[in-house]
Amino acid sequence: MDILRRIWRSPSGRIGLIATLLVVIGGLAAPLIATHMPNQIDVAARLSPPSATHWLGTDHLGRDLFSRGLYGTRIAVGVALAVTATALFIGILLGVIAAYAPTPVERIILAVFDIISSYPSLILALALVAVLGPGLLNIIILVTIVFVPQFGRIARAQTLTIKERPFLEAERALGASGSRIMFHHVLPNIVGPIVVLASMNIPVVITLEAGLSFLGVGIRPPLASWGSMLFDGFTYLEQSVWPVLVAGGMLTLATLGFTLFGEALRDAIDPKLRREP
Amino acid sequence: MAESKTIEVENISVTFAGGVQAVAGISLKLSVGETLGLVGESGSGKTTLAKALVGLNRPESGRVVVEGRDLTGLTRSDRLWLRQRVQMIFQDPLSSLSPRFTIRKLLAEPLAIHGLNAKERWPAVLDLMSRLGLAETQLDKFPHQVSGGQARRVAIARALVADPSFLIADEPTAGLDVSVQGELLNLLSDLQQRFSLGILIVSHNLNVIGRVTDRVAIMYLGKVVEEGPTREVFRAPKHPYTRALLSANPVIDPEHKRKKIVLSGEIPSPSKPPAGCRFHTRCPNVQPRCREEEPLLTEAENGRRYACHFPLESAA
Amino acid sequence: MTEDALVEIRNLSIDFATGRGAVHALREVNLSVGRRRIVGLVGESGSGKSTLALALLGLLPENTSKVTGSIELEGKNLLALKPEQLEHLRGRRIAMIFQDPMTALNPVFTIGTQLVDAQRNRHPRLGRKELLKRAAAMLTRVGISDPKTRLSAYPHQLSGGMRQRVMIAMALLCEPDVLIADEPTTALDVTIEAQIVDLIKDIQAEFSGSIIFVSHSLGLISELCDEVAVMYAGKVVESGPTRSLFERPSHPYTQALLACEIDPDTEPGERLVTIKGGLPDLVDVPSGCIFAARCPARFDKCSQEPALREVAPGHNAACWLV
Repeated sequence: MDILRRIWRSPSGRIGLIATLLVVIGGLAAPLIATHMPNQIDVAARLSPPSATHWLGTDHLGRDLFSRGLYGTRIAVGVALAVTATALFIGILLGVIAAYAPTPVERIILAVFDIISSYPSLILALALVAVLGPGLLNIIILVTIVFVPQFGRIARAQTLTIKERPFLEAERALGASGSRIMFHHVLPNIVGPIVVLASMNIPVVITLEAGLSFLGVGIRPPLASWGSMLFDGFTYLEQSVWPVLVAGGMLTLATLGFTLFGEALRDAIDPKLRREP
Repeated sequence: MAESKTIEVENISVTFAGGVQAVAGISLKLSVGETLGLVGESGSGKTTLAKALVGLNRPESGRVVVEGRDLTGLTRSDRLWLRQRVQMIFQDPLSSLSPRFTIRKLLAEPLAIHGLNAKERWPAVLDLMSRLGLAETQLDKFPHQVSGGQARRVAIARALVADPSFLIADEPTAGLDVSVQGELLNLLSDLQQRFSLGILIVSHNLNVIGRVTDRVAIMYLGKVVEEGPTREVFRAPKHPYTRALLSANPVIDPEHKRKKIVLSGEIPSPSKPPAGCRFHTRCPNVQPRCREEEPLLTEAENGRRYACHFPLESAA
Repeated sequence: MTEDALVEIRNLSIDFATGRGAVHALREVNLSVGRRRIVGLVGESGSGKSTLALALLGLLPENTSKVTGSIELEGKNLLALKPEQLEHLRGRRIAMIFQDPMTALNPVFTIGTQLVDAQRNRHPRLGRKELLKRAAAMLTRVGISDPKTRLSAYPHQLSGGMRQRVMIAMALLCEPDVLIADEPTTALDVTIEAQIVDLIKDIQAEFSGSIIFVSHSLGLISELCDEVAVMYAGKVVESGPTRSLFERPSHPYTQALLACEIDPDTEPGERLVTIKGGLPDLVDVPSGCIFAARCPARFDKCSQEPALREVAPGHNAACWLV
């Protein structure tokens, strides 16, 4: 694939690609690679440093950190992908509607976007948790809500520029129906930049989910989540640094990997977008 | 009703949101096998009128009748029918081609839209391609991968794939070098004969219009000021604007024999056209009557029409 | 070469670096521009006419990889000047009118401010008030009514024709020796084009410098210019006094171009003349005459490159048939 080759050509893209693959494969293959069950408690071996049985040590309940970290990857990446995909879908839908709808509808959609994005994402997420309650599904829903406006806005902006391009008029002159123009000519031309944005969005979602779980309002124990692992780690930091190191390290690897990958993807797909903040 | 192979425009007006009346009451007729030229400067409404013929602009009043079928109050299937009969090629060919479609897909699309059998029709498409000088090796390229001239040919091919009777060409030679301009115009006339098309050429290039059209309509600020057989109109214009346009048209004249008529002033904005005759602010022959009373388009000999209170005398 | 040449271009060759190799955009171009003359540069896209105009201004693009030969303005070689010296020259001795005034006018400043800034180089001692007064006078001269209001207008508030007049005013305020007009009327309507051409003619009458008028329109060139240079694929293939050149077009390319011009008086239905084939590859320039591949009069000798040879006094063509 041409795009992959272009990503591979830049050093940071290469690092990003490798890190992303490590994280994704680690998550997918967690049951195969993990040395222990993620929730298997071994109080005798609590807070132990890395050893032959526990490669990266154990936490305060003696759970294997390597295995918990791997399972945490599934949650982190799974939530990030689910959220991004849903937000992408809803965002594009609303964005395109806003671009084509009569002005009042457009105003309402934009107002909703503005309201949502006027709150800092963590604060808004906390407020929504208070309404919906914690839990995996709710986290996905509320983080999706937080991210829809981003995608919606860019989808609308893209559609507005595409809408003015002469080839859409040419298609109309040819007799193409509204839905043909939408699915064959508008959408393929707006998804490029949005997918790039989406890939850059994944690490943000991962961090947000970790943050919520750290605060105890995200993924609920005993499900392994980097955020809650970090929180537990901090509680016992004076006795062992390993829980914090493992959870923090994996979080860093994943966000850094996805960020570098996203940037390289952006540069590979559209060199014109480079140098934007 | 006997099917007449014509497009008849009856007194149409097109007004844009914001109240700019780009086309203000125009009647025209285009028959198959005929080439009609539409000339005018910016703000004359020529492109707006052209788009109204393809149904891209909705006239606020008047009728467009294509092959006996009135386009006012079109249903969905009517519109589809219309867009098969009347096709348009746009000014900038590259930007009128969907950028993520290959040329193969671009050429197949009109067939899909009009529910034509793609397999059966494909040989005809290939034939059209070779007629237009496009190689089959181009089929899998994207529009931006071919030259400007080839993109133009693709746009023409697309317009003709579904077998229309009328072709509207908006500035088909804009931006072309003279050495290839002739090629394109020859091509259009070949296609016209082969498919007995009625062609409307919108252009500001009087040389092109003078050479390839049978009849010409001169527009100024949303109105037709003069219309008739091209040769006669060019030889002996009746309207001072036509004469000024013809005179301003640069022709090879190294000895500066020709005395040019240079109009003063700018073209008024179509959002507030002058009262009376719309041309009176720039007309070298303006009379008091022109400022108050709008001249009507009146019939004259040889199928000519002009809208002027004080038409120019023929030189002859 | 004329005695009173203001600009003398000798053997100018310019290459641009591209991914495929060096594009030889101009090859050994010779041109001399006399004082008070309007010299037309005519050619199709890819002929190098705009590159020549930019070279005169010292504004060649960044990927210029080789420049040889000389461009002399009153005996001083512009190519040997340092960038600061060139900058000093632009806006004092050489000014340019672009095809699209919107690209040359800054959208965030008023016309007045831009006209004042244009003169700063020329008249560093005059105050803003004085310069504005000169600007207003110049606007009147280029046919803009009500100059006071126009001075406080922004470029987008003016029509295309008016913007082009402002550009011309701006160029003239620099009181240049050489005024380069690169397709100044291409974006304008014909009736406005005629006005601008008239204006350029008027200017020439009281202007002590020379005008280089770049255009693809033979008609315009024939109406406006004293001398013409016809360019093809980076070379001047024919040059001479306008009258002589149009009366006795001697290079087959010039002849073909003239034949392509549509003469509205010929019978409709006749085939229009075209020039078969396309521009040669300017990366790997074919040897011999540059036009040979498309030339209807090609013969054996065309495999060698012809030099410019005199057809009539001051009128030269680069063809073996001359």
